[in-house]
Amino acid sequence: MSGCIERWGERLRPRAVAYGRFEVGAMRLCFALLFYFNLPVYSKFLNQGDPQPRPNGLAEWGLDFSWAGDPAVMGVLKLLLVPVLAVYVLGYLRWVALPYMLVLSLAVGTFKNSQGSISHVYQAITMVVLAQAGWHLYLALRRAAGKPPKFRDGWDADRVEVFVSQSALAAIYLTTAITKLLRSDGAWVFQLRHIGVDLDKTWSQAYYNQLTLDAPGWAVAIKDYVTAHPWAAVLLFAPGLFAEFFAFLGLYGRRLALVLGVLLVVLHLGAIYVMQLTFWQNIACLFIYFVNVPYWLCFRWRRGEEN
Amino acid sequence: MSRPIGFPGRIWRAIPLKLVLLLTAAGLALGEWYPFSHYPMYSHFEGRDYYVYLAGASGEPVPCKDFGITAPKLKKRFKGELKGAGLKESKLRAREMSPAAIGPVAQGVLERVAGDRRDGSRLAAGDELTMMLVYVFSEGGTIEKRSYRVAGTILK
Repeated sequence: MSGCIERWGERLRPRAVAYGRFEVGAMRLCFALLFYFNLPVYSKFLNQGDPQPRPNGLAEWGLDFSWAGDPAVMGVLKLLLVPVLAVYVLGYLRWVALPYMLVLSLAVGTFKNSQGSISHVYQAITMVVLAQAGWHLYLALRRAAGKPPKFRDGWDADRVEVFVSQSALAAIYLTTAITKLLRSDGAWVFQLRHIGVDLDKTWSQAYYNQLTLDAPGWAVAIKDYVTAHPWAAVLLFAPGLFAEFFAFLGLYGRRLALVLGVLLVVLHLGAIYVMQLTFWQNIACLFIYFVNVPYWLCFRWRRGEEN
Repeated sequence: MSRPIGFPGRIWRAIPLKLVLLLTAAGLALGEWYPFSHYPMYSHFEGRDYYVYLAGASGEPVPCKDFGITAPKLKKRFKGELKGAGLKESKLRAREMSPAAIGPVAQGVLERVAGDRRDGSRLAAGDELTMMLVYVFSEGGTIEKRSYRVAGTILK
């Protein structure tokens, strides 16, 4: 019985992708830039009685993250972040750099989400940092214990780092897809014919932000069309569910990562313009770890190989 | 000499994509618990929903940005407070709860928002700021709306 399961497990286990040293370095550089330039300081939440009125995440356990909204504190921490990111990009001391990034990332996101409304804007970045930090802390602990992990079949520490980052992103999309199926009792695709109401709500909300609506003509046309023709919404939006559900296939090689990455980016662009759901950080993470532009533009031709 | 691996250990080792499965399970189990989430946006469509916006005394809309907030954030905050008050948002969405019943919650949210008035806002001190709730629903193939004033406060 267990032999059969092991055989199937072996067949389904993703193979190592031969990411080169510079290729992983390029990924780290892009991710470090994304991390640095997307680290917000929510100082406006300090001008109220309780800085964490609706504690979320670790704040629910009584941890105070209001320092993440203090420009003076965050100024110093962001200054320290520069050498930390440099060390991270160069591939040294990642078991120190990544926990530092994780603490900052968790603090900012938790503080923001403890204001009474939930935001997913910064969440993909935190999930990738969490996965990478977990991997490098595990490696460091194993080495400290004198039991460094033995890599086989082409895997190494850098390749696993990319793999866990992709896993964190794939988990986000798989969770999204499962939630859709659970909350709709499996009828999400069928329910899409009602999406006109949700689009009307979303576009009205976008209007009430500034009493103007800045949307491209094609997005307006799609919104009006699916509102007037409910079954068109099923054809247009249902493929998105499949892309989300099967995002994990991107872990099975470069080509699948490229295909799934592009599909998910297209899905996000549609969501940004038609559903007014902005997820630029997710798009950036997908470009770095799934689409992997530097490889297809540069490394592939230089190395003359594809794995 | 290495120890033999037991049956559970062999099963565990055989599972592919363990991290994807673990993080997915964590997101689904924990819900909105940063950095985990179950991503409830657009997860089901009932053909009815609602939104809230800021308005002046006579119901004319006022930009939410004048108060440093967006309309979706205003709704999220309102939703969070509803939950805090033990009221079910699903009942509100289904129009099974009267706008008057949510008045105290809306009033609390509005008063907090009113304190964040930005310079150059269209409303000045002494003006009335109100919160409007709009039901959106599909009826006979067309989209209908009903608006209600749910809270009001005088700006300081």
